[in-house]
Amino acid sequence: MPSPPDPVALAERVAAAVAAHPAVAGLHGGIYGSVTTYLPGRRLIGVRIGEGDEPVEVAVVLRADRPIPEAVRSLRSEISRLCGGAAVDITVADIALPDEVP
Amino acid sequence: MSESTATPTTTTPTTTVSSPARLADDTSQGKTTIAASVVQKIAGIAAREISGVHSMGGGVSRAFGAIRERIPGGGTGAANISGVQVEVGEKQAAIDLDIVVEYGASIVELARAVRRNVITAVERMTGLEVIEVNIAVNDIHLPLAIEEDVLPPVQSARVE
Repeated sequence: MPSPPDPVALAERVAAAVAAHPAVAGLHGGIYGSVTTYLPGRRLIGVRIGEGDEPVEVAVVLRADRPIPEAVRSLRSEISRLCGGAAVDITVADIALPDEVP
Repeated sequence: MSESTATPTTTTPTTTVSSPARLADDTSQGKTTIAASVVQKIAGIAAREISGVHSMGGGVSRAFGAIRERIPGGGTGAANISGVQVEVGEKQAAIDLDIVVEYGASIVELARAVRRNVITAVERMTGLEVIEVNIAVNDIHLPLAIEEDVLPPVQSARVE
């Protein structure tokens, strides 16, 4: 696979798309906090663009109002499309109950 | 942005060939990981939904819940997950519950209802197969408050 033009821009685009997804309550650092993109001056938590053949990693907090597999499937196809068909590892780190959603 | 839609290249078969199609049409498109705390929350909520369950947790798990609240990233929703322990694998989950029942509920029936509701909720929400739900009833809640309320009116009636 040709490496994407700009991993930083791609990470930001993926983060924005994930955050805007209706099933997602927020991004999350993953179970060990390792799903993070390090940028100059800040960190983008919840998205990691793998190098080469590594998959794109995303960790999210989902809303509790729908089944997880369905939400994950829709999220994966959306991210994969953004990343030119790369494999996407999704971690559901937590769920947000309706009264917890900001 | 190239619009090459996700056509999984089967050139890199991952090691988890036997993994189920439930969580994942995965294998070549990426893995899905569901954190244990997700399963804990869903199971805890499902168990509490059953009328007759007074509260969850007891002894050891309450103590752990108190500790967990103090650990950063240890799960802030400790109220939902006290009394729930889970083991989550790639396609299966096992759940242990500690519950306190209301006095007057049939514990056998209650346990059966809790188990059914928990299995349904977890399987539907996570797509994981629940292989077992072990329920420990470690206390019974007596409605003492009601008895205390009843006493004073009786006494005042006698004084009159």
